[in-house]
Amino acid sequence: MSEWDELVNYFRGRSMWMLHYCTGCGAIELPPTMTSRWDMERFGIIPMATPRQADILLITGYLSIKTLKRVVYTYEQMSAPKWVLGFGSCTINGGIYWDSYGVIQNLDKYIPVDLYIAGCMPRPEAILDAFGKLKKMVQKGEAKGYEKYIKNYDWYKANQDRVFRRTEPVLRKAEEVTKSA
Amino acid sequence: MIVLLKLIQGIGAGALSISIGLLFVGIGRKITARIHRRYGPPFVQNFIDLFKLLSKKSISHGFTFDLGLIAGFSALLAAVVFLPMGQINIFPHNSSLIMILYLMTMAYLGMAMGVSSSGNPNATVGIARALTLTMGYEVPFAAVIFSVYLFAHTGSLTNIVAAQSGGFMNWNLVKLPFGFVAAEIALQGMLGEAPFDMAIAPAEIASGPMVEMGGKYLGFGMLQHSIGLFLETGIMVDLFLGGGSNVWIFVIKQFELYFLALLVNAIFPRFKIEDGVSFMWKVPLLLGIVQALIVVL
Amino acid sequence: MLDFVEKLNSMGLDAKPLGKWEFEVTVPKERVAEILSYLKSAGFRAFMGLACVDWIDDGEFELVYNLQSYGEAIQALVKTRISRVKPIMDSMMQLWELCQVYEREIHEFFGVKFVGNPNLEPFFLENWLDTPPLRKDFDTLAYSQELFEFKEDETHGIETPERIE
Repeated sequence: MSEWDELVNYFRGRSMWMLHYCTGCGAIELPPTMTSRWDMERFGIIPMATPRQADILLITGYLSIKTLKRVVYTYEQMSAPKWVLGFGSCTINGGIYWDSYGVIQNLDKYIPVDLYIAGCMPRPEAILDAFGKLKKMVQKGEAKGYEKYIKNYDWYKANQDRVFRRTEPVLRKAEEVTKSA
Repeated sequence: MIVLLKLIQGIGAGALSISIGLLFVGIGRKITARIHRRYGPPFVQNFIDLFKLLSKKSISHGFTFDLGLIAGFSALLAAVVFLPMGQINIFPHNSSLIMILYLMTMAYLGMAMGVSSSGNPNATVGIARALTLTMGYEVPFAAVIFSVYLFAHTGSLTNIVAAQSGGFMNWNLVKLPFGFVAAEIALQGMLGEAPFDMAIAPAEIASGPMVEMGGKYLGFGMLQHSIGLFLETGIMVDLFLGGGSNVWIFVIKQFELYFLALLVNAIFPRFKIEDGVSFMWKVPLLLGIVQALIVVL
Repeated sequence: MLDFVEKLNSMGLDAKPLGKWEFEVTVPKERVAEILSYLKSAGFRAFMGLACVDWIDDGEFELVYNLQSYGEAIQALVKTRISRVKPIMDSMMQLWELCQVYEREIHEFFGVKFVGNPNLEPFFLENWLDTPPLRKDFDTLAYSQELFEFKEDETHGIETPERIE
């Protein structure tokens, strides 16, 4: 890493704009994080309204198949140095929706997640801690999820298509039941 | 030789206006945070944001998009050189006031051309609101300009500043108080601060004109905003606060005006666009007309 | 409220009170429209919802129409059973326009066909090809394991990406 890159990374870590994709209950933890009690603006992190302006994509909760499609659109609209924060256990393994037919289980299969915040729900302290860790990762040049996405695009695309573009029933047994009925 | 000198001075004025504008917004964020009882970002945060934005990859939405943004940016940059800033006065033009107002409208039109070519409906709604609001605040501001014009018998900002020299009691703030209040309300609309921030409403139309601007384009947008901030407060200082004996006093006076706008911004909610325009056409316009009548009679 | 229960019992139906403010009445499939329109004219003008219960051991779906009388502040549950193998029911849209949405959702999640409902397109699920998901014979765990989890031996012809350290 050249010195110029180090300088750029230093400033990128100091100014991370966040797009919070509020799907689940996690959205309720963000207002206290933004406002006067915990005040994340002091780290240069402010909420942004559109994916074009954002650096961090914060996924706060479970994602159904329909919402995952929108998340992938959103992620692909963001411009290049971009990072994904998975928030809550739902993005890690489905959380309480571990056996649900509509909710995806592992976000990392569809878009590259740089950092997970475990918990159901994570407290604002945990969110700020994650921002601090992400800042260090960015400044050291370790957070390279977007490069991983470009490099392994086929793998991610195949995983996405497996969920979005099903052409035959997922359960063969179920298919038989339908036919007999 | 003189052309070269003027060119260098013009570039210097542009750089000064950009850095002062960025610094103002940075300090403004800190002040707003303190009003909200937050700690707030460091005051250089705005420079860091600008650096980061310029280092990002960005997506263009076609030639018109680029052209519109650059047209808006350069119109504001051109307007700065006509503004007397303390002892710096690069082009002492005879009707610099009209020139600056014309170029500022050009900036809005350039931006409108650019962002509406991106095809995002939020951008179109946002820029439509911005232009409607322009129509709202230009009318009372024109009434104020008219009374200042009649009062000073000149359209040159240099002469207007010169007429106010010699102490606080000679300022137009004291001589034309209704006009100052009207212009102050119009300034709130020009700066796009609450309650007149409907053009960039982030929660409703996803930051309006900036919705499709990312990376370097948003960086240019920030530059444009900071020049606009410098220019708008600068005109007010020249018109009402007697300019400044040097640049730093000029900048401090500008900051006072911006500080006032920030205080209003921090505690007010947003107008609807039609309410904003009708407010502009009622209260400040009435004050402006009263001021003009007082001057005439 | 007891007047309603007696009246419905005298019509040859099985009605019984559930607590102080609620009663249920079990109606054969053919008489649902008649009973609902009677109840509507008797003051139960608000249609609160339509639910479906899967009684897999009986081989039947139970549809529950939930009505509310604002005048007397009581609720009526009109229950009817339909066959699970060929689930077909008449739409109640001529009584309450609102039924359209509920029927559409029940069609999506249980596969009950409502005759007379113009639009039974899927509401929430995208590209759904399996059995309707809220039926009891739908194995949701097996489905989610099959769709969302890769097994060790099953890579679908794609190699796992190398980690960028």
